[in-house]
This record gives sequence, structure tokens and C-alpha cells, in this order.
Amino acid sequence: MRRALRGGLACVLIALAVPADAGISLRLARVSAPALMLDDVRIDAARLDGGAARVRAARARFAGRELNDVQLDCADFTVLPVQRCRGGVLRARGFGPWPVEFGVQGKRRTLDARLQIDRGTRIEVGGELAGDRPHLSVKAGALDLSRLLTGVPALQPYAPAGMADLAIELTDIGAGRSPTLHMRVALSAGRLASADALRAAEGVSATVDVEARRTGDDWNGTVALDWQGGELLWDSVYLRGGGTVLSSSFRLSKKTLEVSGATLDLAGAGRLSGDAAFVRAPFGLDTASLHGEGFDLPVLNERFIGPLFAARGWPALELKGSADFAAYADGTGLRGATLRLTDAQVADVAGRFALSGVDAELPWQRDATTSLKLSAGHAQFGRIPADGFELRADLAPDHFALQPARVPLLDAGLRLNALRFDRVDGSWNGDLSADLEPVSMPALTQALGWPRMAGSLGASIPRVSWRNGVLSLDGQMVIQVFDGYVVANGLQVIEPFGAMPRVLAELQMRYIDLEALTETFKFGRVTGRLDGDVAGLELSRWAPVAFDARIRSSEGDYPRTISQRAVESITALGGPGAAAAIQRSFLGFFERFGYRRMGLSCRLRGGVCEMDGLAEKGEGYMLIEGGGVPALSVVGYNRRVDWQELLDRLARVTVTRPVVR
Amino acid sequence: MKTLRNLLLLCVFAASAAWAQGNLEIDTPAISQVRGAMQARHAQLAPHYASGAVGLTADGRVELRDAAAVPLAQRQAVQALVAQENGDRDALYREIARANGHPEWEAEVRSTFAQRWIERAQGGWYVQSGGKWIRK
Repeated sequence: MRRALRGGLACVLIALAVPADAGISLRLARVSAPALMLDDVRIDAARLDGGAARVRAARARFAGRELNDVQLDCADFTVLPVQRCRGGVLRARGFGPWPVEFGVQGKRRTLDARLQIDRGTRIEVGGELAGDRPHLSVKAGALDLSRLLTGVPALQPYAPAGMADLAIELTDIGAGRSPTLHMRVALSAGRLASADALRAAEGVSATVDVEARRTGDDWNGTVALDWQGGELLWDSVYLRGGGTVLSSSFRLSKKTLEVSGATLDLAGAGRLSGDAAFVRAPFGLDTASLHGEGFDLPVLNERFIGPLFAARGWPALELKGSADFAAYADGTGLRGATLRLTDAQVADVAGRFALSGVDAELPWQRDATTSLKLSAGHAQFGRIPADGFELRADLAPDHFALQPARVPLLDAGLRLNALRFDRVDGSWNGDLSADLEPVSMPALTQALGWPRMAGSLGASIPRVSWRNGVLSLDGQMVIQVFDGYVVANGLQVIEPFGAMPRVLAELQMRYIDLEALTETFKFGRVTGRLDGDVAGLELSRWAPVAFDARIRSSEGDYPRTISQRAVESITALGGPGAAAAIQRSFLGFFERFGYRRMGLSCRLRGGVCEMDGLAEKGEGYMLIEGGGVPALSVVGYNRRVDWQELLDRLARVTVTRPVVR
Repeated sequence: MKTLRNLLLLCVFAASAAWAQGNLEIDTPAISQVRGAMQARHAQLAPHYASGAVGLTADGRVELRDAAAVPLAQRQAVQALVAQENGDRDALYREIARANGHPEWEAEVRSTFAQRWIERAQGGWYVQSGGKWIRK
């Protein structure tokens, strides 16, 4: 390029031999200088020592930008003894006219140039082009960012705007030297906005400092971004400026840009460090690695994770502790990432789960299977506490499989025999198999805040599948409770994490020990066994909205007694207007009564329970058929009972008595 | 279909009345909860309907149609409001269809509600019509 410039200047010198007053016209195919190239240049001057002149170029390439039909008119143009343009006007297709003046004089070829782009925007270039220490300085004030960045295609969808002040110092320029560059760009009133305005910045003030030195063909240096003020929204992440956010070393060669030792401040949550290599033409990422240690999880959650979840309608989390993060990318995208949690707490704000003392190593790789490990010191699922446990799993891009694990719950444990998710046609399908070891009912009911019940509860879940937001039980779930069992068939939980989770199921209860169910209730004591069938059970937001339920005494030989208090409770369930036809003469006399069988049905629709019993009895229906001595029968008369009212009454008669041991 | 239409009109009438009076006839506990959440949220969404930032879509949802009308610092919060509102609206339509014993009516419940929301939108609010946004 320097050779070409000398060639261009040589042409000008040849033209100097022409008599001055004859007028000079010169045409050059190309003039090139560092960072500047002019094609098809034509110079028309009246004289060489003053007077008007016009320089035209069909095309100019400057700092990566191309201008067409460039024209410089100078009112007073001299080549000797100094090269100077006074009262000049520069224009190009789509640009200008801009007033310009410049001069180059002396042995050191001292340059002094000023270009006025508009009233506020002025570019000044000074320096020495020859001598011992050739140097160049460029100062520009109030540059319009929207114009300045038209050459950066990646930014165009965001319509960047604002003002920039630019100061560049280039020292040791010239052939055979290693020039150094100091550049400061001060942005003010910076703004950008995507078409949907969800990626936007306003009132941004920032300073970018670049220090670099050229060695051979490469530039080595550092860059630092100091974001002083303004706001930034990137999708759902909103940040306000303050402090140095990015600093890095770089090496710019003909084909690549290498970034090393970069640190990015994540809004008080911690710092990401990394290295990256880019190819320059066309510009793209070659490789990158990022890592950060000791991220402050509450801050990370408040500024990044929480807003991202909220914008998608996902449940809010509460996070404590710290996290380490590492990621690796190549030209085709993210290649791998690892998240490490140390003594963290992860809780659902709605209270559905909480894990504390969490240590986790969660790696992911695009092209390989990784092993995940998570341990928790303590957990809470709803109201049920769990002791520490450890989970291990295999993770691949389209596959997740948990290794068999046991989560201690109260005095028992939940055995996760299999839990796996597979991505099929873009959506994740899951399968679960689990067993709940028999858990003590007193402990469970106490944890749930329910009336205390006796016995234990265990469950076997052979297979549950997750498809399209629906959790379905394949086969039967068997729950062992109150010395009997409950079998659930056709269980489905629709959108369990949605706004309106729904449950569908068919239940069969067999041989439930009534004594275990009622002994610790204020309800009163009943001995006997119960079978029940609940068809078409439907829960919405975990509350029953429909079912057809029938309960009745189990077949077989077992003691059948009911206490006086239980009779009163059953009568109270019927409400004030539902007097039970009981043998009142005996009620106050005996503490316990015998019965032959009991039965009750409730068909719940529209918040009303349509009730029936064992058989018709006068205008009512038989709930308990007496048997033995003393015998007692209970007859119900209310056939339509408000479900909520029934629940309220049940709550009143089942409030737990203090347990005396 | 006639029954369906009558029922839906009843639902919409009840829902509309409920909006003012807080008393919905189709009143399963789940619907009450969702409706309560939507009513509580309405006060926060109303200024954004008025500014044109949020509009009512033809499919019975709401959409952040002009985020630039919301100050930058509040845009993420409005995004979250819109996501929550749509979650509740989807659940409401599904639940009303289900509560009436016809889950397959969900699409019709949705479109009937969409129409009614749009009819009831205040002057100056943006509503979707024929794939375009119009200002009432």
C-alpha cells in the first residue's frame, strides 16, 4: 500500500512540471494509502500555488466503508510550498457537503485537518507523517452512532443511535515500525431497540478503551468497556449500568480475532471469564470457553433466572448459595456446559418443594452422555420433610435417566426405581416407576396437618408416564393403608404444574380397618372393615369436583361396633335438619352398639353430593343397619348435601383429640 | 349446538356480570380461584391496555403488542403479567368447558369469550380483528 501511495504521489510530481497558469488536469487509476484507497481519481486545479481545485474519485474505501462519487472542492488549493486546502467542501453520494480544511507542511510533514460534518460533529486529524516519531491523532466529537454503525450488519436490526466522542492516537506509524494505538470511544445517550422492543437500551453512557500495538501483520492489545449508566433490556433480563463490565486482551490477525483473558461482570452476581477465537471473513465464532466461580445465586436469580422464568409463566424459585459455571462453544453453537452448586438452597416460592444443603455437579455435552450428581442435606415436598439423599443420572441431549435412588421420607423412603425422559419429535416423554415404603400414618398425618391417623401407608407405582403435559398411570397403583389397600386405576394428572391441574382416577378401597381410621379422632370409634369404590373421580386444583362413590362394610367375619360418640358424629354430618332414626332409648345407656352392615354413596356433581345408603327406609335411606345386642340403625334423610358444607361438618367432627399415651 | 350456544352465552353473561359483581354462576372452586387471580391482575394490566402496550387477541388471550409503550424498566414485569394472564385464561376456558361436561367445547368457549372480551374492551384499547390490531 505504501508503495502504491508513493506511486500516486509520483504522478502528482510529474504534473508539477506543467506550467502553472495553463491549468492542471490529472487522472490516476488508483491512489492508496494506509486505510484509504481511491479509484479513478481526477484532479483539476487552476494553479499549483493557489486558486480553486477539484479532486474527484469514483470510489473511496476508507476504514472498511465504501463511498461513491467522492468530490473535494477547494477554494484555495496549493501543492507548493505546502500541500493545503482552504475553504474546502467534501461530498460523496449520500454524504455531505461537509466543510473541510487540511494542510501538510515541513520536513516532518505536519498534518492538520478539520472536517465539519454538521453543526455539532467535527473531526480533527493532526500529527506528523514523517520524521523520527511519526504519529497521528484523530479527535471526533458528537458522532452520530446510527451513521457510524451502518457498517456493522449484526447491529442493524437494533437501530443503534446516540452520540460518540472518539479519540485515537497512533504512534510510530510508517514503514518498518510497530505502531501503537490508543483509542477511546465515549458513548452518550446510546439507545437501541429491536422491532419488538424486547431487546432495547436507553440512555446508555459508556467508555470503550482500546490499547493495541502492531507486530508484523498482527495487532495485540486490550479492550475495556466501562458501562457508566443507562438501562438495558435483553429479552426478559433488565440491567442498569455501573462499573467496568468487560475487559479483555485480543490479537487481531489477517484471518482471525483471538480474545483471551476476557472477564464479563454479571451485574453483581459474579464474573464470567473466557477465551474465544473468531474467524474474520465471514465473521463467526470458531471456539469459545467461558467459566465463572462463586456466582451469588440470590443475585443471579433476582436479575437473570427469575425474570426469565416469569416471562414464560414458569414457577418462581428461591435460590441461595453459590454456583460455578463453565461452557464451551464452537462454530455450530454450545458444545458443553457444567453447572456446579455448593451448599445451595433451591425452593419453589409456592412451597411445593425445597431442597437445602444442595451440592450438585451438572454437566451437559452436545455430543456425549454425561453423569449428573446431586445431593441434598434436607428436603421438603409440600409439608412432608425428607432427610438427605443423593441422586445420580445420565444425561444426553435427547435422554435423561436417573439411577435407582432412595429419598428418605419421614420414617420410610421413596424408592425411585426408574425415572427417565426421552425427547421424541421435539417433546420430552417421561416414565417413572417408584415404591413408597410403608410410612407411619401418625407421622404422615402430623406432617400434613391432618387429623392424626393410625397405621401405615405404602404405595407401589409400577409405571407412570409423562406425555404432552399429562402424567398417566399405566396399570395400577396400590396403596397399603389402614391395614387394607387402595387401588388406583386410570390415574391421570393433567398439567400438574399449570394454572389448573386436574386429576382423573378410579379408586377401589378394600378391607380398610375402621378402627385405625377413627380411633384417634374426636369422631368416635368404629370397629369393622370397609370396602369402597370411587368411579369417575375428578379433581380440579387438587379439590374434588366430581365422583360416584360407594362405601360399604366388607364381606367377612370381624367385630362390628360403633361408639355412642361416632353415632352422634354421623348424625351431625347429616346437618341440623337430618335427624337420624336411631334407637334413642338405648343411645344414652350403652357406650357401644353392634351393627350388621353400613353403606353410603355420594354422587358429587356441581358442588352437591347426592347421597344414598344401603336401602330405602321409609322416607330416608339406611346408613347403618343394626345387628346384635344392643343394636343400632342410622337412617339418613338429606339426599342432597352441599359438598363444602359436608367437608366443614366433617372437619368439625374429626378434629383430633389430644392423644394420651 | 343450540344448547352449546345458549350455555356459552350464559357463561359469558355470568362471567361478564361477575367481573363487575364478583359473583359467577359457573362457580367451581377452580374457576373461582382463576377468576380471583385474573381480577387481581386486571388492575395491573389495565394501564397497559389503555396505553396500547397490551392488546386482546382474537383467540381470547392477551399479547404484548407494543413493548415500546412500556418504560424499559417495567417491560420484564409486563411480560410476566402477560404470561400469567394467558396461563389463567387458557385454564379458564378449559375448566368452563370441562365444568359443563364437554371438554371438547374448549375451542368454542375460547372463541366466544374472545369475542366478548373484545366487545367489552374499553375505547382506546387494542383488539385483534382479521389478523390485524385495531384501536377501539
